[in-house]
Amino acid sequence: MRCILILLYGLVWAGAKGQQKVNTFQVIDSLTRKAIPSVSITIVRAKLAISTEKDGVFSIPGNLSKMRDTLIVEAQGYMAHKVLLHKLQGMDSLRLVRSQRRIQGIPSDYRQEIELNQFEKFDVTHYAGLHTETSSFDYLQLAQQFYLPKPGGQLMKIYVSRLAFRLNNLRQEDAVGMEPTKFRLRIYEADTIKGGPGEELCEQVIEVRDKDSQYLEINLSNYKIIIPRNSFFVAIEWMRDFTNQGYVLVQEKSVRPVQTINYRPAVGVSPVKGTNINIWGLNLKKQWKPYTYFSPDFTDLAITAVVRQ
Amino acid sequence: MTTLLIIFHTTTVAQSVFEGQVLDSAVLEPLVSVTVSLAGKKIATSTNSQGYFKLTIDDTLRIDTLTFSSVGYITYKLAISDYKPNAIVILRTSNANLAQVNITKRKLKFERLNGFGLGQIIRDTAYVPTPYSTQFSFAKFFSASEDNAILSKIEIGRIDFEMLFLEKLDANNEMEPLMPVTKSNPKTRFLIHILSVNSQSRLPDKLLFTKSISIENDLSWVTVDLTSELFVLKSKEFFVAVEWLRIPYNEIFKLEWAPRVRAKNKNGKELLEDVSQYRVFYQPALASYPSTQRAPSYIKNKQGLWMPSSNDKEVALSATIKY
Repeated sequence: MRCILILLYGLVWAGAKGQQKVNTFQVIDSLTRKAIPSVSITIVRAKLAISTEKDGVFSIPGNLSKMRDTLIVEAQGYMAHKVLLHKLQGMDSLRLVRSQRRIQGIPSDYRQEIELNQFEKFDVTHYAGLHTETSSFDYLQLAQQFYLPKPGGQLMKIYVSRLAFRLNNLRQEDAVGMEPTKFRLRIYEADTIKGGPGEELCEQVIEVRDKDSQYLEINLSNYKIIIPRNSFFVAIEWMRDFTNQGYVLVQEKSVRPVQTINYRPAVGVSPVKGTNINIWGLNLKKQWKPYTYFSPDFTDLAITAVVRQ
Repeated sequence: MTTLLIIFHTTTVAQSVFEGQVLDSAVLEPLVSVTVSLAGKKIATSTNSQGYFKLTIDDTLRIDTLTFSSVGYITYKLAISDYKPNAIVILRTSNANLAQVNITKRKLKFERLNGFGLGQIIRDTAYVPTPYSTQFSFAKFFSASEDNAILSKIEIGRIDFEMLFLEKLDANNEMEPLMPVTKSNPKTRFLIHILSVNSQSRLPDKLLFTKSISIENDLSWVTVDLTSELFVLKSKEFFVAVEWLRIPYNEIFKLEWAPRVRAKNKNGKELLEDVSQYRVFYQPALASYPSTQRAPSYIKNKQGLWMPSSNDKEVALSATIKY
């Protein structure tokens, strides 16, 4: 909880001097009343986003009745909860309602495996998920769109390239093991109207942990993820917590670079250029938009999906 | 008799990707369409307009051989066991003389200004060129023998950004084998400008010509062919400037580390730990080398003013003109 408290101090823009009241909340399941771990907490206009630890607890210092911003609380498998901050006055918990599970069997005639969005891992040179002096990375998720040759299939596996340095020299020992990361995978159907990610295809939490690998192989066969149509998305969801917290030095307009908090991992960008942008970003307002930062030079994330059809 | 000179970068990487550049030994210009093949396997490629080649092979045996061949040049064979990343291979012409046809009435005179050699931009065990990078623009002064020359080409020595952050051992003056803390990005896009010389201040002045350069490979020797531009330098004196573009395409990330508060003890004392801190740099990094007669050089600051460059090395930037 400690880190969340520090981060949300930025909210207290009015009368911030002196002793602050700290408002602490726990996000719980509406039925079981148990804490929901790693909940995404977003304050929309303040552009603040963090993830809770396992206890689902977060704090907002200051006088809530004076705050006019909007809070969005979201966890995988639950319906997102949106509330004005001043309406939290007097509350100590937020209850999330589970979304309905889809139960599907796997057709027995899926035999052939195909790899989508292939790339040469040695050729990955660019990474998404970092603040730079030309752009602040204010996204909760980045999703890669995949297209199947025919509708229907089971998502078996994905490969992800990420920025990591493997250091082993004695003179670099201070830096060894500094790049652990954990992130979540979200699988979406393509929204037939908006074109971006739509309904979730897997409501189980898929959490990936890694020490310092540059190329991850993630087996998804046990999740039995069925793709009903011929397009789907695989998204990386950043866990904005203490484990992933690091920094970037951003030059911006000042002479000296400014240290800014950044959350691992940085996800590779595919060296293979397509004809359309296939990367979508979920911004802090929870809106999916095409991610154009690398346009027109790059169109895809360095994520390969293996699908059995 | 050794017919070929090969200069390598000394860093070794265990992978089955073979890439480098092939140059002509006489003029140090990129050789186009040189066939690079792996003996015993049906795998081959040819060099592009910058003399660059890349072969990706899955199951290379250490006894395999890379062959470089081109009409008019002596074929060279390189054992895989001797290959080092980003090789520069220099091919020598064969003895067979090709018929020469004169198509001009007057023989053109070429002049290479502020020229540099291969040995000044390539890293070997004895010498390490200094990488040079600045925030916005770098300009170097050039002086030709005559007015009204045509700018034929510009050559740039380029270095991998990884070398910016490797250190030397004190004892043997050899490269410390540190693991790279930058992620290599061979791709770069930048601008070349030709500027006039201000007659009063001697600083770079009016913009005369601009060319956008895009490179996708790890080239050390960059040749910008301007023959088709037919750009005439009205004055003997001019500047050649390189402008860095701060765009995602040019991004290079370097790993550093910085402390953060892990916890506080009972006395309120902060317990610190190091976490990753990334820093962005922008391609390209130019090679620079010691020189006793350094050409006047300037960098552009954030306000857009030209200031004398504090770099005490000569940046590998040359221009070839013709009359």
